[in-house]
Amino acid sequence: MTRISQRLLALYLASLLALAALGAHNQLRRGHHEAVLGQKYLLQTQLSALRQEVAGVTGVLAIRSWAVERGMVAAPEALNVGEVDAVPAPRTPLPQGALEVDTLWR
Amino acid sequence: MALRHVTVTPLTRRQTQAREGARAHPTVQPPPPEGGPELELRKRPLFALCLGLPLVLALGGFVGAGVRLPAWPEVLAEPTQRGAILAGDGTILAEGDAGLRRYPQGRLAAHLLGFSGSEQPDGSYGLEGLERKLDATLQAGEDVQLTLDPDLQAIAQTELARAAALHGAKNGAVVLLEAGTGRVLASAAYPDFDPNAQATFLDRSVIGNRPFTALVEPGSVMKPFVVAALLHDRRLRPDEVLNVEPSLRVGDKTFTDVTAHEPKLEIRDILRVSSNVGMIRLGERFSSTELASWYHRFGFGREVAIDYAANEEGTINPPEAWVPQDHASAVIGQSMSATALQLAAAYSIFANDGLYVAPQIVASQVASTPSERVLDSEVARTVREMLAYTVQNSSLIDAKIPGVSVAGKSGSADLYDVDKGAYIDAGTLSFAGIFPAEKPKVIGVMYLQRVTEKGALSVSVTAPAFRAIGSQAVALWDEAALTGR
Repeated sequence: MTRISQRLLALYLASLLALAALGAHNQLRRGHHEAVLGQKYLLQTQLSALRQEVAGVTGVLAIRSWAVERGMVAAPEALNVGEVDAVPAPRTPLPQGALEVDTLWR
Repeated sequence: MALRHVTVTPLTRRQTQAREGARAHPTVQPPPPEGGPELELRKRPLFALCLGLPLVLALGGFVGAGVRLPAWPEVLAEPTQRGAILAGDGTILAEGDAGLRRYPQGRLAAHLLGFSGSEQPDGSYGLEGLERKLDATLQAGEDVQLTLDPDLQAIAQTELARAAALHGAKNGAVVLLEAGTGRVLASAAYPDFDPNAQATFLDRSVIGNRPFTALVEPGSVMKPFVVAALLHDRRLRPDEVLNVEPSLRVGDKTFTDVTAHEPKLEIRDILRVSSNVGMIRLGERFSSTELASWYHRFGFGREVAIDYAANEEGTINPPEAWVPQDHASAVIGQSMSATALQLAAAYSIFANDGLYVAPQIVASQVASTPSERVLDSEVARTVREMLAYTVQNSSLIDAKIPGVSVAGKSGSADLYDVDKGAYIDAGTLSFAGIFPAEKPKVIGVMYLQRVTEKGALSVSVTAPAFRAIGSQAVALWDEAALTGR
Protein backbone atom coordinates (compact mmCIF):
# COMPACT_ATOMS: atom_id res chain seq x y z
CA MET A 1 0.00 0.00 0.00
CA THR A 2 1.46 3.29 -1.02
CA ARG A 3 1.77 6.17 1.33
CA ILE A 4 -0.98 8.13 -0.44
CA SER A 5 -3.35 5.16 -0.24
CA GLN A 6 -2.67 4.88 3.45
CA ARG A 7 -3.50 8.56 3.91
CA LEU A 8 -6.66 8.33 1.87
CA LEU A 9 -7.74 5.25 3.82
CA ALA A 10 -7.19 7.05 7.09
CA LEU A 11 -9.14 10.03 5.81
CA TYR A 12 -11.92 7.75 4.60
CA LEU A 13 -12.15 6.00 7.94
CA ALA A 14 -12.14 9.28 9.83
CA SER A 15 -14.87 10.70 7.57
CA LEU A 16 -16.90 7.56 7.88
CA LEU A 17 -16.67 7.63 11.64
CA ALA A 18 -17.52 11.34 11.73
CA LEU A 19 -20.50 10.75 9.46
CA ALA A 20 -21.62 7.84 11.56
CA ALA A 21 -21.32 9.91 14.72
CA LEU A 22 -23.26 12.78 13.13
CA GLY A 23 -25.93 10.38 11.92
CA ALA A 24 -26.26 8.84 15.36
CA HIS A 25 -26.45 12.29 16.94
CA ASN A 26 -29.03 13.36 14.39
CA GLN A 27 -31.10 10.29 15.10
CA LEU A 28 -30.99 10.92 18.81
CA ARG A 29 -31.92 14.60 18.28
CA ARG A 30 -34.77 13.52 16.09
CA GLY A 31 -36.10 11.31 18.84
CA HIS A 32 -35.73 14.17 21.29
CA HIS A 33 -37.46 16.54 18.85
CA GLU A 34 -40.31 14.10 18.49
CA ALA A 35 -40.66 13.83 22.25
CA VAL A 36 -40.54 17.62 22.67
CA LEU A 37 -43.18 18.13 20.00
CA GLY A 38 -45.41 15.62 21.72
CA GLN A 39 -44.86 17.44 24.98
CA LYS A 40 -45.61 20.79 23.33
CA TYR A 41 -48.85 19.44 21.91
CA LEU A 42 -49.79 18.06 25.32
CA LEU A 43 -48.99 21.35 27.04
CA GLN A 44 -50.94 23.36 24.46
CA THR A 45 -53.91 21.11 24.98
CA GLN A 46 -53.57 21.46 28.74
CA LEU A 47 -53.19 25.23 28.43
CA SER A 48 -56.32 25.52 26.31
CA ALA A 49 -58.27 23.31 28.69
CA LEU A 50 -57.05 25.33 31.66
CA ARG A 51 -57.92 28.61 29.91
CA GLN A 52 -61.39 27.24 29.38
CA GLU A 53 -61.62 26.28 33.05
CA VAL A 54 -60.38 29.71 34.12
CA ALA A 55 -62.94 31.40 31.84
CA GLY A 56 -65.59 29.33 33.59
CA VAL A 57 -64.62 31.11 36.82
CA THR A 58 -63.18 34.50 35.85
CA GLY A 59 -64.50 34.97 32.30
CA VAL A 60 -66.80 37.90 31.62
CA LEU A 61 -69.86 35.69 31.24
CA ALA A 62 -69.13 33.77 34.44
CA ILE A 63 -68.48 36.90 36.52
CA ARG A 64 -71.61 38.59 35.21
CA SER A 65 -73.73 35.56 35.90
CA TRP A 66 -72.24 35.20 39.40
CA ALA A 67 -72.81 38.88 40.19
CA VAL A 68 -76.36 38.97 38.84
CA GLU A 69 -77.28 35.90 40.89
CA ARG A 70 -76.08 37.76 43.97
CA GLY A 71 -78.12 40.85 43.23
CA MET A 72 -75.74 43.02 41.23
CA VAL A 73 -77.37 46.18 39.96
CA ALA A 74 -75.76 48.34 37.29
CA ALA A 75 -74.68 51.67 38.73
CA PRO A 76 -77.17 53.81 36.77
CA GLU A 77 -80.01 51.60 38.04
CA ALA A 78 -79.07 51.93 41.70
CA LEU A 79 -81.75 53.78 43.66
CA ASN A 80 -79.47 54.80 46.52
CA VAL A 81 -75.82 55.53 46.17
CA GLY A 82 -73.84 56.03 49.36
CA GLU A 83 -70.33 55.95 50.69
CA VAL A 84 -69.18 52.46 51.56
CA ASP A 85 -66.81 53.66 54.24
CA ALA A 86 -68.29 54.79 57.55
CA VAL A 87 -66.47 58.07 57.32
CA PRO A 88 -65.72 59.51 53.88
CA ALA A 89 -62.03 59.63 53.15
CA PRO A 90 -60.58 63.12 53.54
CA ARG A 91 -60.28 64.90 50.25
CA THR A 92 -56.84 66.47 50.11
CA PRO A 93 -55.87 68.52 47.09
CA LEU A 94 -53.20 66.68 45.18
CA PRO A 95 -50.23 68.52 43.74
CA GLN A 96 -50.41 68.92 39.99
CA GLY A 97 -47.95 66.41 38.62
CA ALA A 98 -47.30 64.75 35.34
CA LEU A 99 -49.20 61.62 36.34
CA GLU A 100 -52.59 61.53 37.99
CA VAL A 101 -54.49 58.44 38.97
CA ASP A 102 -58.19 58.94 39.56
CA THR A 103 -60.05 55.95 41.00
CA LEU A 104 -63.80 55.96 40.76
CA TRP A 105 -65.78 53.29 42.58
CA ARG A 106 -69.13 52.39 41.16
CA MET B 1 28.93 38.41 -9.74
CA ALA B 2 30.92 35.14 -10.05
CA LEU B 3 32.00 34.08 -13.49
CA ARG B 4 31.58 30.47 -14.60
CA HIS B 5 34.13 29.03 -17.00
CA VAL B 6 32.57 26.59 -19.58
CA THR B 7 34.56 24.50 -22.00
CA VAL B 8 32.58 23.55 -25.18
CA THR B 9 33.53 20.31 -26.93
CA PRO B 10 31.94 19.79 -30.39
CA LEU B 11 29.73 16.63 -30.91
CA THR B 12 31.08 13.82 -33.00
CA ARG B 13 29.23 12.93 -36.20
CA ARG B 14 27.78 9.73 -34.63
CA GLN B 15 26.51 11.56 -31.63
CA THR B 16 24.77 14.10 -33.86
CA GLN B 17 23.06 11.37 -35.92
CA ALA B 18 21.83 9.55 -32.78
CA ARG B 19 20.30 12.75 -31.37
CA GLU B 20 18.47 13.55 -34.64
CA GLY B 21 17.16 9.94 -34.82
CA ALA B 22 15.71 10.23 -31.32
CA ARG B 23 13.82 13.41 -32.28
CA ALA B 24 12.34 11.74 -35.40
CA HIS B 25 11.10 8.56 -33.57
CA PRO B 26 10.22 9.41 -29.94
CA THR B 27 9.49 6.36 -27.72
CA VAL B 28 6.55 6.34 -25.18
CA GLN B 29 7.62 5.29 -21.74
CA PRO B 30 5.24 4.64 -18.76
CA PRO B 31 5.61 7.20 -15.99
CA PRO B 32 7.77 5.98 -13.21
CA PRO B 33 5.85 4.87 -10.05
CA GLU B 34 5.74 7.63 -7.44
CA GLY B 35 4.89 5.82 -4.18
CA GLY B 36 5.95 2.30 -4.47
CA PRO B 37 4.75 -0.98 -5.88
CA GLU B 38 1.04 -1.46 -6.89
CA LEU B 39 -1.45 -3.22 -4.48
CA GLU B 40 -1.05 -6.87 -5.04
CA LEU B 41 -4.16 -8.66 -6.28
CA ARG B 42 -4.36 -11.06 -3.33
CA LYS B 43 -4.40 -8.17 -0.86
CA ARG B 44 -7.42 -6.44 -2.37
CA PRO B 45 -10.16 -8.45 -0.45
CA LEU B 46 -8.39 -7.65 2.77
CA PHE B 47 -8.36 -4.00 1.83
CA ALA B 48 -12.09 -4.11 1.06
CA LEU B 49 -12.73 -5.76 4.44
CA CYS B 50 -10.81 -2.98 6.14
CA LEU B 51 -13.01 -0.42 4.42
CA GLY B 52 -16.30 -2.21 5.14
CA LEU B 53 -15.60 -3.26 8.72
CA PRO B 54 -16.04 0.17 10.30
CA LEU B 55 -19.39 0.49 8.52
CA VAL B 56 -20.55 -2.83 9.92
CA LEU B 57 -19.30 -1.86 13.37
CA ALA B 58 -21.09 1.50 13.15
CA LEU B 59 -24.36 -0.17 12.15
CA GLY B 60 -24.00 -2.61 15.01
CA GLY B 61 -23.33 0.27 17.37
CA PHE B 62 -26.45 2.17 16.22
CA VAL B 63 -28.68 -0.83 16.69
CA GLY B 64 -27.12 -1.43 20.10
CA ALA B 65 -27.78 2.22 21.04
CA GLY B 66 -31.44 1.85 20.14
CA VAL B 67 -31.29 3.98 17.03
CA ARG B 68 -33.90 2.79 14.58
CA LEU B 69 -32.48 1.72 11.25
CA PRO B 70 -33.05 2.34 8.52
CA ALA B 71 -34.30 5.85 9.34
CA TRP B 72 -35.76 7.50 6.30
CA PRO B 73 -34.83 11.17 6.26
CA GLU B 74 -38.05 13.03 7.03
CA VAL B 75 -39.13 16.29 8.60
CA LEU B 76 -41.24 15.83 11.67
CA ALA B 77 -44.70 17.11 10.82
CA GLU B 78 -46.13 19.46 13.42
CA PRO B 79 -49.91 19.94 13.62
CA THR B 80 -51.00 22.79 11.32
CA GLN B 81 -50.49 26.04 13.20
CA ARG B 82 -53.53 28.34 13.27
CA GLY B 83 -53.64 31.91 14.52
CA ALA B 84 -55.74 32.93 17.50
CA ILE B 85 -58.80 35.18 17.42
CA LEU B 86 -58.70 37.89 20.06
CA ALA B 87 -61.25 40.34 21.40
CA GLY B 88 -60.55 44.07 21.36
CA ASP B 89 -58.81 43.90 24.76
CA GLY B 90 -56.71 40.83 23.85
CA THR B 91 -58.99 38.23 25.47
CA ILE B 92 -58.44 34.95 23.62
CA LEU B 93 -61.65 33.88 21.93
CA ALA B 94 -60.28 31.06 19.77
CA GLU B 95 -56.90 29.33 19.87
CA GLY B 96 -55.08 26.12 19.13
CA ASP B 97 -54.06 24.20 16.08
CA ALA B 98 -56.52 23.41 13.34
CA GLY B 99 -56.99 19.87 14.54
CA LEU B 100 -57.82 20.84 18.08
CA ARG B 101 -59.37 24.30 18.10
CA ARG B 102 -60.61 25.61 21.43
CA TYR B 103 -62.80 28.52 22.44
CA PRO B 104 -61.77 29.42 26.00
CA GLN B 105 -64.65 31.86 26.53
CA GLY B 106 -67.20 29.24 25.52
CA ARG B 107 -70.45 30.85 24.39
CA LEU B 108 -69.04 34.37 24.22
CA ALA B 109 -69.51 35.67 20.65
CA ALA B 110 -69.91 32.09 19.42
CA HIS B 111 -72.17 33.08 16.49
CA LEU B 112 -69.64 35.54 15.25
CA LEU B 113 -66.61 33.30 15.68
CA GLY B 114 -68.17 30.19 14.20
CA PHE B 115 -65.84 27.22 14.46
CA SER B 116 -63.28 25.17 12.55
CA GLY B 117 -62.99 21.45 12.02
CA SER B 118 -61.09 18.93 9.98
CA GLU B 119 -59.43 19.82 6.68
CA GLN B 120 -61.87 20.51 3.87
CA PRO B 121 -61.35 19.52 0.21
CA ASP B 122 -60.19 23.08 -0.58
CA GLY B 123 -57.55 22.91 2.16
CA SER B 124 -59.38 25.17 4.58
CA TYR B 125 -60.34 24.34 8.16
CA GLY B 126 -62.86 27.07 9.06
CA LEU B 127 -66.42 25.83 8.83
CA GLU B 128 -68.53 28.73 10.09
CA GLY B 129 -68.37 32.44 10.90
CA LEU B 130 -65.08 34.29 11.22
CA GLU B 131 -63.20 31.00 11.45
CA ARG B 132 -64.29 30.42 7.87
CA LYS B 133 -63.94 33.96 6.53
CA LEU B 134 -60.53 34.47 8.14
CA ASP B 135 -59.27 30.98 7.30
CA ALA B 136 -56.39 32.03 5.04
CA THR B 137 -55.08 34.55 7.58
CA LEU B 138 -55.43 32.16 10.50
CA GLN B 139 -53.79 29.30 8.57
CA ALA B 140 -50.82 31.58 7.90
CA GLY B 141 -50.35 31.57 11.69
CA GLU B 142 -51.45 35.17 12.13
CA ASP B 143 -53.55 36.24 15.10
CA VAL B 144 -56.61 38.37 14.34
CA GLN B 145 -57.88 41.00 16.73
CA LEU B 146 -61.55 41.89 16.64
CA THR B 147 -63.29 45.10 17.65
CA LEU B 148 -65.49 43.29 20.18
CA ASP B 149 -65.60 44.54 23.75
CA PRO B 150 -65.90 41.32 25.79
CA ASP B 151 -67.72 43.08 28.64
CA LEU B 152 -70.32 44.57 26.32
CA GLN B 153 -70.59 41.27 24.49
CA ALA B 154 -71.29 39.48 27.76
CA ILE B 155 -73.85 42.14 28.73
CA ALA B 156 -75.62 41.89 25.37
CA GLN B 157 -75.73 38.10 25.42
CA THR B 158 -76.88 37.88 29.04
CA GLU B 159 -79.64 40.48 28.71
CA LEU B 160 -80.86 39.11 25.40
CA ALA B 161 -81.14 35.61 26.86
CA ARG B 162 -82.80 36.95 29.98
CA ALA B 163 -85.40 38.92 28.00
CA ALA B 164 -86.05 35.97 25.71
CA ALA B 165 -86.60 33.64 28.66
CA LEU B 166 -88.75 36.19 30.49
CA HIS B 167 -91.11 36.82 27.57
CA GLY B 168 -90.94 33.43 25.89
CA ALA B 169 -89.22 34.51 22.69
CA LYS B 170 -88.03 31.93 20.22
CA ASN B 171 -85.04 33.88 18.95
CA GLY B 172 -83.46 37.30 18.95
CA ALA B 173 -80.41 39.41 18.23
CA VAL B 174 -78.48 42.42 19.51
CA VAL B 175 -75.88 44.56 17.74
CA LEU B 176 -73.94 47.36 19.42
CA LEU B 177 -71.82 49.71 17.30
CA GLU B 178 -69.43 52.45 18.34
CA ALA B 179 -70.48 55.83 16.97
CA GLY B 180 -67.96 57.47 14.66
CA THR B 181 -65.79 54.44 13.97
CA GLY B 182 -68.34 51.74 13.13
CA ARG B 183 -66.58 49.25 15.43
CA VAL B 184 -68.84 46.34 16.28
CA LEU B 185 -68.74 46.34 20.09
CA ALA B 186 -71.09 43.42 20.56
CA SER B 187 -73.11 41.05 18.44
CA ALA B 188 -75.31 38.58 20.26
CA ALA B 189 -77.81 35.98 19.15
CA TYR B 190 -80.39 33.91 20.97
CA PRO B 191 -80.35 30.96 21.35
CA ASP B 192 -76.58 30.70 21.65
CA PHE B 193 -74.23 27.73 21.66
CA ASP B 194 -70.83 26.54 22.85
CA PRO B 195 -68.49 26.10 19.86
CA ASN B 196 -66.36 23.67 21.90
CA ALA B 197 -69.21 21.19 21.60
CA GLN B 198 -70.27 21.97 18.02
CA ALA B 199 -69.49 18.48 16.78
CA THR B 200 -72.27 17.07 18.96
CA PHE B 201 -75.01 19.49 17.85
CA LEU B 202 -78.16 17.88 16.63
CA ASP B 203 -79.90 21.17 15.82
CA ARG B 204 -77.59 23.04 13.43
CA SER B 205 -80.06 25.91 13.03
CA VAL B 206 -78.66 27.75 16.08
CA ILE B 207 -75.18 28.22 14.67
CA GLY B 208 -75.96 30.88 12.06
CA ASN B 209 -74.76 34.43 12.71
CA ARG B 210 -78.29 35.77 13.24
CA PRO B 211 -77.44 39.47 13.81
CA PHE B 212 -75.65 39.64 10.45
CA THR B 213 -77.58 37.19 8.31
CA ALA B 214 -81.14 36.72 9.60
CA LEU B 215 -83.65 38.93 7.80
CA VAL B 216 -86.58 40.47 9.63
CA GLU B 217 -89.30 42.92 8.66
CA PRO B 218 -88.14 45.85 10.80
CA GLY B 219 -91.47 47.60 11.36
CA SER B 220 -91.73 51.00 13.01
CA VAL B 221 -87.99 51.37 13.61
CA MET B 222 -87.91 52.37 9.92
CA LYS B 223 -90.15 55.41 10.41
CA PRO B 224 -87.33 57.85 11.34
CA PHE B 225 -85.67 57.17 7.97
CA VAL B 226 -88.70 58.38 6.04
CA VAL B 227 -88.85 61.53 8.16
CA ALA B 228 -85.11 62.11 7.68
CA ALA B 229 -85.31 61.63 3.91
CA LEU B 230 -88.22 64.08 3.62
CA LEU B 231 -86.39 66.66 5.75
CA HIS B 232 -83.23 66.24 3.67
CA ASP B 233 -85.19 66.72 0.41
CA ARG B 234 -86.94 69.78 1.87
CA ARG B 235 -90.33 68.12 1.45
CA LEU B 236 -91.06 68.41 5.13
CA ARG B 237 -90.49 71.03 7.80
CA PRO B 238 -89.70 69.80 11.32
CA ASP B 239 -92.41 72.07 12.78
CA GLU B 240 -95.22 70.96 10.47
CA VAL B 241 -98.50 69.84 12.00
CA LEU B 242 -100.56 67.14 10.29
CA ASN B 243 -104.15 66.01 10.59
CA VAL B 244 -103.85 62.34 11.45
CA GLU B 245 -106.98 60.19 11.50
CA PRO B 246 -107.02 56.99 13.61
CA SER B 247 -107.13 54.71 10.58
CA LEU B 248 -106.60 54.89 6.85
CA ARG B 249 -107.62 52.68 3.95
CA VAL B 250 -104.96 52.24 1.27
CA GLY B 251 -105.80 49.91 -1.60
CA ASP B 252 -107.30 46.81 -0.05
CA LYS B 253 -105.68 47.29 3.32
CA THR B 254 -106.68 49.32 6.37
CA PHE B 255 -103.90 50.78 8.49
CA THR B 256 -104.69 51.79 12.07
CA ASP B 257 -102.78 53.49 14.84
CA VAL B 258 -102.17 51.37 17.93
CA THR B 259 -101.81 54.34 20.28
CA ALA B 260 -104.70 56.80 20.67
CA HIS B 261 -103.65 60.38 19.88
CA GLU B 262 -104.91 63.90 19.17
CA PRO B 263 -106.23 64.60 15.65
CA LYS B 264 -103.38 67.02 14.96
CA LEU B 265 -99.81 65.83 15.41
CA GLU B 266 -96.40 67.46 15.07
CA ILE B 267 -93.79 65.42 13.19
CA ARG B 268 -91.99 64.45 16.39
CA ASP B 269 -95.31 63.34 17.88
CA ILE B 270 -95.98 61.14 14.88
CA LEU B 271 -92.77 59.34 15.87
CA ARG B 272 -93.64 59.50 19.59
CA VAL B 273 -96.97 57.70 19.15
CA SER B 274 -95.57 55.72 16.21
CA SER B 275 -98.54 56.70 14.09
CA ASN B 276 -98.89 54.45 11.05
CA VAL B 277 -101.48 56.77 9.51
CA GLY B 278 -99.32 59.87 10.01
CA MET B 279 -96.31 58.14 8.47
CA ILE B 280 -98.32 56.87 5.48
CA ARG B 281 -99.54 60.43 4.91
CA LEU B 282 -95.92 61.61 4.98
CA GLY B 283 -94.86 58.75 2.73
CA GLU B 284 -97.24 59.99 0.05
CA ARG B 285 -94.75 62.82 -0.56
CA PHE B 286 -92.37 60.28 -2.11
CA SER B 287 -92.96 58.14 -5.16
CA SER B 288 -92.27 54.44 -4.65
CA THR B 289 -89.06 54.75 -6.66
CA GLU B 290 -87.88 57.66 -4.51
CA LEU B 291 -88.69 55.80 -1.28
CA ALA B 292 -86.87 52.65 -2.42
CA SER B 293 -83.91 54.76 -3.52
CA TRP B 294 -83.72 56.41 -0.11
CA TYR B 295 -83.84 53.05 1.66
CA HIS B 296 -80.90 51.96 -0.51
CA ARG B 297 -79.01 55.10 0.49
CA PHE B 298 -79.58 54.24 4.15
CA GLY B 299 -77.94 50.87 3.44
CA PHE B 300 -80.99 48.63 3.09
CA GLY B 301 -81.31 46.15 0.25
CA ARG B 302 -77.54 45.93 -0.15
CA GLU B 303 -74.77 44.18 1.76
CA VAL B 304 -73.02 46.04 4.53
CA ALA B 305 -69.41 46.70 3.49
CA ILE B 306 -68.04 44.85 6.49
CA ASP B 307 -64.81 42.93 5.90
CA TYR B 308 -64.50 39.24 6.77
CA ALA B 309 -68.09 38.74 7.90
CA ALA B 310 -70.83 37.29 5.75
CA ASN B 311 -74.04 39.30 5.83
CA GLU B 312 -77.30 39.40 3.97
CA GLU B 313 -78.38 42.29 1.79
CA GLY B 314 -82.08 42.15 2.70
CA THR B 315 -85.03 42.71 0.44
CA ILE B 316 -86.62 45.80 -1.03
CA ASN B 317 -89.03 44.71 -3.71
CA PRO B 318 -88.77 46.51 -7.08
CA PRO B 319 -90.75 49.74 -6.58
CA GLU B 320 -92.26 49.58 -10.07
CA ALA B 321 -94.18 46.50 -8.91
CA TRP B 322 -95.56 48.18 -5.77
CA VAL B 323 -99.28 48.72 -5.44
CA PRO B 324 -100.44 51.56 -3.13
CA GLN B 325 -100.68 49.31 -0.05
CA ASP B 326 -97.11 48.09 -0.72
CA HIS B 327 -95.92 51.70 -0.67
CA ALA B 328 -97.80 52.33 2.57
CA SER B 329 -96.41 49.12 4.10
CA ALA B 330 -92.86 50.04 3.11
CA VAL B 331 -93.21 53.44 4.82
CA ILE B 332 -93.92 51.71 8.14
CA GLY B 333 -91.17 49.11 7.70
CA GLN B 334 -93.22 46.19 6.42
CA SER B 335 -92.95 44.41 3.04
CA MET B 336 -89.19 44.70 3.25
CA SER B 337 -86.48 42.94 5.22
CA ALA B 338 -83.19 43.85 6.86
CA THR B 339 -80.63 42.46 9.27
CA ALA B 340 -79.94 43.81 12.76
CA LEU B 341 -76.51 44.88 11.48
CA GLN B 342 -78.07 46.90 8.65
CA LEU B 343 -80.43 48.62 11.06
CA ALA B 344 -77.62 49.49 13.46
CA ALA B 345 -75.46 50.81 10.61
CA ALA B 346 -78.40 52.90 9.35
CA TYR B 347 -79.10 54.35 12.82
CA SER B 348 -75.42 55.27 13.03
CA ILE B 349 -76.18 57.88 10.33
CA PHE B 350 -78.23 59.78 12.94
CA ALA B 351 -75.45 59.28 15.51
CA ASN B 352 -72.69 60.38 13.11
CA ASP B 353 -74.43 63.63 12.08
CA GLY B 354 -75.47 62.27 8.71
CA LEU B 355 -72.42 60.15 7.87
CA TYR B 356 -72.80 56.45 7.07
CA VAL B 357 -69.82 54.56 8.47
CA ALA B 358 -69.62 50.91 7.47
CA PRO B 359 -69.34 48.66 10.52
CA GLN B 360 -66.14 46.65 10.98
CA ILE B 361 -65.44 43.59 13.10
CA VAL B 362 -61.69 43.14 12.43
CA ALA B 363 -59.72 45.82 14.27
CA SER B 364 -57.17 46.34 11.49
CA GLN B 365 -59.94 47.26 9.04
CA VAL B 366 -61.45 50.06 11.13
CA ALA B 367 -59.10 52.80 9.91
CA SER B 368 -59.91 52.09 6.27
CA THR B 369 -63.65 51.62 6.64
CA PRO B 370 -65.62 53.49 3.97
CA SER B 371 -67.94 56.32 4.92
CA GLU B 372 -70.33 58.47 2.92
CA ARG B 373 -72.56 61.43 3.66
CA VAL B 374 -76.22 60.50 3.46
CA LEU B 375 -77.93 63.32 5.33
CA ASP B 376 -77.20 66.95 6.09
CA SER B 377 -75.75 67.11 9.57
CA GLU B 378 -78.58 69.43 10.62
CA VAL B 379 -81.20 66.90 9.47
CA ALA B 380 -79.45 64.06 11.31
CA ARG B 381 -79.34 66.10 14.53
CA THR B 382 -83.00 67.08 14.15
CA VAL B 383 -84.07 63.44 13.78
CA ARG B 384 -81.90 62.50 16.77
CA GLU B 385 -83.65 65.16 18.83
CA MET B 386 -87.02 63.78 17.70
CA LEU B 387 -85.94 60.30 18.77
CA ALA B 388 -84.75 61.59 22.14
CA TYR B 389 -88.12 63.32 22.53
CA THR B 390 -89.81 60.01 21.65
CA VAL B 391 -88.03 58.11 24.43
CA GLN B 392 -88.48 60.96 26.90
CA ASN B 393 -92.21 61.48 26.35
CA SER B 394 -93.76 58.21 25.26
CA SER B 395 -94.47 54.81 26.70
CA LEU B 396 -90.84 54.08 25.85
CA ILE B 397 -89.93 55.40 29.28
CA ASP B 398 -88.65 51.89 30.01
CA ALA B 399 -85.86 52.45 27.49
CA LYS B 400 -84.48 55.43 29.42
CA ILE B 401 -81.05 54.83 30.90
CA PRO B 402 -80.80 56.68 34.22
CA GLY B 403 -78.41 59.58 33.94
CA VAL B 404 -77.90 59.23 30.20
CA SER B 405 -80.10 60.56 27.40
CA VAL B 406 -81.38 58.03 24.87
CA ALA B 407 -82.65 58.63 21.35
CA GLY B 408 -84.57 55.66 20.06
CA LYS B 409 -87.55 54.08 18.41
CA SER B 410 -89.41 50.87 19.02
CA GLY B 411 -91.04 48.57 16.51
CA SER B 412 -93.67 45.84 16.71
CA ALA B 413 -93.77 44.30 13.26
CA ASP B 414 -95.89 41.52 11.91
CA LEU B 415 -93.91 38.39 11.13
CA TYR B 416 -94.66 36.21 8.14
CA ASP B 417 -94.89 32.58 9.21
CA VAL B 418 -93.76 30.45 6.30
CA ASP B 419 -95.26 27.28 7.77
CA LYS B 420 -98.69 28.81 8.35
CA GLY B 421 -98.58 31.03 5.27
CA ALA B 422 -99.90 33.96 7.31
CA TYR B 423 -98.67 36.94 9.32
CA ILE B 424 -98.25 36.75 13.11
CA ASP B 425 -99.25 40.02 14.81
CA ALA B 426 -96.29 41.71 16.49
CA GLY B 427 -94.09 38.73 15.65
CA THR B 428 -90.94 40.87 15.74
CA LEU B 429 -90.45 43.23 18.67
CA SER B 430 -87.54 45.60 18.22
CA PHE B 431 -85.81 48.65 19.58
CA ALA B 432 -83.13 50.81 18.01
CA GLY B 433 -81.40 53.44 20.07
CA ILE B 434 -78.48 55.80 20.44
CA PHE B 435 -76.88 56.95 23.70
CA PRO B 436 -76.00 59.52 24.91
CA ALA B 437 -78.31 61.38 22.54
CA GLU B 438 -76.30 64.62 22.63
CA LYS B 439 -72.88 63.09 22.02
CA PRO B 440 -73.53 59.58 20.74
CA LYS B 441 -71.15 56.82 21.75
CA VAL B 442 -73.15 53.67 21.17
CA ILE B 443 -75.79 52.63 18.65
CA GLY B 444 -77.81 49.58 19.64
CA VAL B 445 -80.39 47.46 17.87
CA MET B 446 -82.26 44.62 19.49
CA TYR B 447 -85.12 42.38 18.46
CA LEU B 448 -86.95 39.32 19.76
CA GLN B 449 -89.21 37.14 17.63
CA ARG B 450 -92.22 34.92 18.27
CA VAL B 451 -92.78 36.11 21.81
CA THR B 452 -95.34 33.83 23.45
CA GLU B 453 -96.30 36.28 26.20
CA LYS B 454 -99.86 37.55 25.68
CA GLY B 455 -100.13 41.16 24.54
CA ALA B 456 -96.38 41.68 24.45
CA LEU B 457 -95.22 44.85 22.70
CA SER B 458 -91.80 46.29 22.15
CA VAL B 459 -92.35 48.91 24.86
CA SER B 460 -92.65 46.16 27.46
CA VAL B 461 -90.16 43.66 26.01
CA THR B 462 -87.26 45.15 24.05
CA ALA B 463 -87.31 48.68 25.53
CA PRO B 464 -86.52 47.46 29.09
CA ALA B 465 -83.95 45.01 27.75
CA PHE B 466 -82.28 47.84 25.83
CA ARG B 467 -82.21 49.88 29.02
CA ALA B 468 -80.61 46.97 30.91
CA ILE B 469 -77.89 46.69 28.28
CA GLY B 470 -77.39 50.46 28.19
CA SER B 471 -77.21 50.84 31.97
CA GLN B 472 -74.56 48.16 32.30
CA ALA B 473 -72.61 49.60 29.37
CA VAL B 474 -72.68 53.04 30.96
CA ALA B 475 -71.48 51.54 34.27
CA LEU B 476 -68.29 50.51 32.46
CA TRP B 477 -67.51 54.00 31.26
CA ASP B 478 -65.27 56.30 33.16
CA GLU B 479 -66.43 59.75 34.16
CA ALA B 480 -64.82 61.45 31.18
CA ALA B 481 -66.64 59.20 28.74
CA LEU B 482 -69.90 59.73 30.58
CA THR B 483 -69.74 63.49 30.49
CA GLY B 484 -68.33 63.58 26.98
CA ARG B 485 -65.17 65.41 28.00
